[in-house]
Amino acid sequence: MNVAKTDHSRVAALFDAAREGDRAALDELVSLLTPLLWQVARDQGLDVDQAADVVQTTWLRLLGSFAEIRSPVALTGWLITVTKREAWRTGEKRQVERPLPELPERLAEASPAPEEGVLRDDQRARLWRAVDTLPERCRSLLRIVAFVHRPDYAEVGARLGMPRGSIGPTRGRCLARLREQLLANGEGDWL
Amino acid sequence: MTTVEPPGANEPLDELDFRLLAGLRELWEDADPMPATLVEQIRFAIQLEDVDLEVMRIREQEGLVVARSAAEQGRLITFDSESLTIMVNVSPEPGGTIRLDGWLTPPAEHPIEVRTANGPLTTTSDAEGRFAVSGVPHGMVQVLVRTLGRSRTVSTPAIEL
Repeated sequence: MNVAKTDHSRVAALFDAAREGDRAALDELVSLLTPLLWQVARDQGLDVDQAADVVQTTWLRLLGSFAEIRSPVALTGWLITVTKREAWRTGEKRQVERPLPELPERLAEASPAPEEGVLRDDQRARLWRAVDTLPERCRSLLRIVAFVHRPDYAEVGARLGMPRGSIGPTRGRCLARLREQLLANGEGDWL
Repeated sequence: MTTVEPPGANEPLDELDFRLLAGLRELWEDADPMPATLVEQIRFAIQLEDVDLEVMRIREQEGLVVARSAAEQGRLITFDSESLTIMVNVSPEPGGTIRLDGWLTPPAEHPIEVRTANGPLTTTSDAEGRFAVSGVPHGMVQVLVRTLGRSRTVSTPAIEL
């Protein structure tokens, strides 16, 4: 599971230390939260180089803005907002319809340690097909939310323009749709 | 406006939802992986003493992708911020190092620092805004302009040369 990667209490501790000027803590925050920001930038339709620049710029901007940010949850929200804003400034016109990228075959020998990989091959394929049937807005939301630690769902939903009630303590209609789709596919492995 | 909620849309997230989200994360990491050096690049960029930065953007231009990977060919990269534009010509030197020729707009004399993996190289731009730094090692490079008369340091993002 990805528990370690999305440990909210770890982010909270690092946030406090980084705000006090602890550079090692800031480095670790970068490791923990950059994967999320990468997905945000790429979801705005930027190419790989543009997305990398935008994510870096976002972290550089944080250096002078730490004092304004009140909590770890606000930090995640702030980083997402700045990434999106930078992406809009940088980007070409965002394509209206973007197909889901090809899912690479996961080679047995290339697989990470068993506890790292959550999904078996058939589950991967079915989940990806189910994602493919979702409306773009849902795909986009779930893509980002999958990289967020739990306490931040409501804040992040708001930053992504979803009403607070629709994600967070509630399952959210996009996840519910995904489950429906997996059910419709028949096989019960997921459910 | 009425929308039909799928069943379960208003229930709390359960174990299956969390498994689905963990699975989605894994799939997106495989389908759209981050560049392997991105985190390292960001860590390099933010190891700055200054926190009051004016962060420049790489202006979109033809050949940018090539500029990243092929410093040996000699390329022009333009960085923009609210107050300053820097054009940097990147060219190879004998001995495997790189020479940077820069030009600031608006032109002025400012202390310039080129951060490299081996430490900083410093110079000053002339009244026309020109500067040159040779002996830059390949790897992460970031240009800082410590603009005189203003508190904020202007910084480019770190780029791999």
